[in-house]
Amino acid sequence: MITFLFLGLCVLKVASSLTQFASIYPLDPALPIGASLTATCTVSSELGLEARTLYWTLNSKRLPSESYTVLNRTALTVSLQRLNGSRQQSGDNLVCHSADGHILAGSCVYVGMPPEKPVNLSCWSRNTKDLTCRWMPGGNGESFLRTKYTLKYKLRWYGHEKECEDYNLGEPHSCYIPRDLALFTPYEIWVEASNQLGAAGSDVTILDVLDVVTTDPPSDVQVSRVGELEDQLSVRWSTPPALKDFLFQAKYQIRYRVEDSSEWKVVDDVGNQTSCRLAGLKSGTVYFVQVRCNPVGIYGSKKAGIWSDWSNPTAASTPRSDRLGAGVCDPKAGEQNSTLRRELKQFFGWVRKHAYGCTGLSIKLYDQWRVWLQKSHKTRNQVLQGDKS
Amino acid sequence: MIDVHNGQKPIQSSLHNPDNRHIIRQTHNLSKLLLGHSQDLLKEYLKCQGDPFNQSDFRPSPSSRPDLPRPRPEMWHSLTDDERLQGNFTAHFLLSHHLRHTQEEQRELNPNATVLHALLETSLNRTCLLLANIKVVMDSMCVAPPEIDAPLPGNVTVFEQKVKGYWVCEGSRDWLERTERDFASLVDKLPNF
Repeated sequence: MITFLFLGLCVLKVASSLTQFASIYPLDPALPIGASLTATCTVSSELGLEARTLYWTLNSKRLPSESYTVLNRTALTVSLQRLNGSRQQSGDNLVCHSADGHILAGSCVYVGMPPEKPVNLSCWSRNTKDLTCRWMPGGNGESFLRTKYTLKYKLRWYGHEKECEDYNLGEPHSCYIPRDLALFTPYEIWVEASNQLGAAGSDVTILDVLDVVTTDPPSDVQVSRVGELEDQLSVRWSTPPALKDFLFQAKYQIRYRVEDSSEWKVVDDVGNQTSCRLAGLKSGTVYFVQVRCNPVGIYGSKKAGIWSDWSNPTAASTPRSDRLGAGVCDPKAGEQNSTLRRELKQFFGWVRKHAYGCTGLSIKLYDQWRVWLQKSHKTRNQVLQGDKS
Repeated sequence: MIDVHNGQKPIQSSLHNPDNRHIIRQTHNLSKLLLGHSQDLLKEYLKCQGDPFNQSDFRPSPSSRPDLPRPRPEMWHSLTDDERLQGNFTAHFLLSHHLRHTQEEQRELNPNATVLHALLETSLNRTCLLLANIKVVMDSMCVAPPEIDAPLPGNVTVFEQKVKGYWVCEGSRDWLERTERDFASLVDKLPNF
């Protein structure tokens, strides 16, 4: 074992002395696009190589010998003009070779631009607990160099500057502050961009966390018929649980569409009730309905909050009209579906009574399946395969 | 019962222990898995550093070689099982540190290279697992692990970091070829019952 260690040490010593055999100056320079660069490769006399036999490559492309100058027996320079932006973020590889192609030394050249100031900084808080911010790089966003973005924030009237730490949000240029946020007092928030050629800060955004609150979509959205009324559906939902005790003035929005259409109709004037009746609908038609919430005036904030995501779609159908439409001889596709749906409902009722263990079956399940079908882009007239039981 | 194979050191009776046989087979399987993975790592690593690293004739000078002994396949037959195990332990111990240094360096040099970072993370984790397995086998065969100092990252230029990372990825692949061979040999020596 001692022999092994001794041999190991010897290898180390030899390896470190080899690093002195050739060197390049400057090492790892950072330059603006269009700049010029003169680099020097100096070889140790122990190598026994003449400078005039060496050559240079940039990203493995051989540089013309007209751009070389032999400084002395052991030093060769190369001049590069009007440099383009770096091909890779880890730097362009400028390499000094011996005549037989061996790599003697290398330097990574960074050519790019200083960052422009980040723009479009926006932030939102989920249920007043946290803050997520997003921004865009300034200009066209390409500086050819690795640019680091740091989101900073501080309480406007006291306190020291803090840095956001969690940048791994699955989308670039965003950061997440998970806790310890003050309410009822404004923050100053900004983003600093920096790379090897410079730095730039965004404009400062001033906000109170309470002014940028969003919440979860309303839970438990139920859509049902209004008796036998053919043109109406009733929508009911619950206040999002996280802010249930504080959403006195919350606003809601409903949107709905006919099953086979992509055009949504939006009901905007729902106010802060948790139920609404949709009218003017087509009879015997399946509708998909979604609801979302805006925590307006939370904790007395004067500003509108941020709309939540839409709830998962809930489906329901209006009763079929018994009156025939003028001039209609063949049943329309919607009517076929509605007949089918009625029969299914009767079937499920029978199953629940007579087949033990099938209590989960209901017309609601069928409606959810229709929603899923739409999402999968399957054709409308798919034959029903039957339930799984 | 003690078997003697080809003038090698007699197989220790510990190999008759079913648990030890199992860990030897598992370590062999693990080394095969890592070997395939190490080819992908080397290829992706070279791609991310830019030319000339990504060229088929890329051959750097050994000046940026990290502290890592060579597997030396030409010496393989003259080594005992104990020596082979110690060699593997030393190599993968050193590699577990070198891979971590390369990972940290690449986070700065190639921050957007998500495929490379995933491959490095997996390599690092599995190398540590492999090392733990090798230690268990050595303990069961009463082979003392060598004492080794953890290597330091060193203060090297960016180009030297890129070259060193190449040596680390290539060294990892070369040593996994050796580890697979060593454990295949041990598996062959296992009693058949």
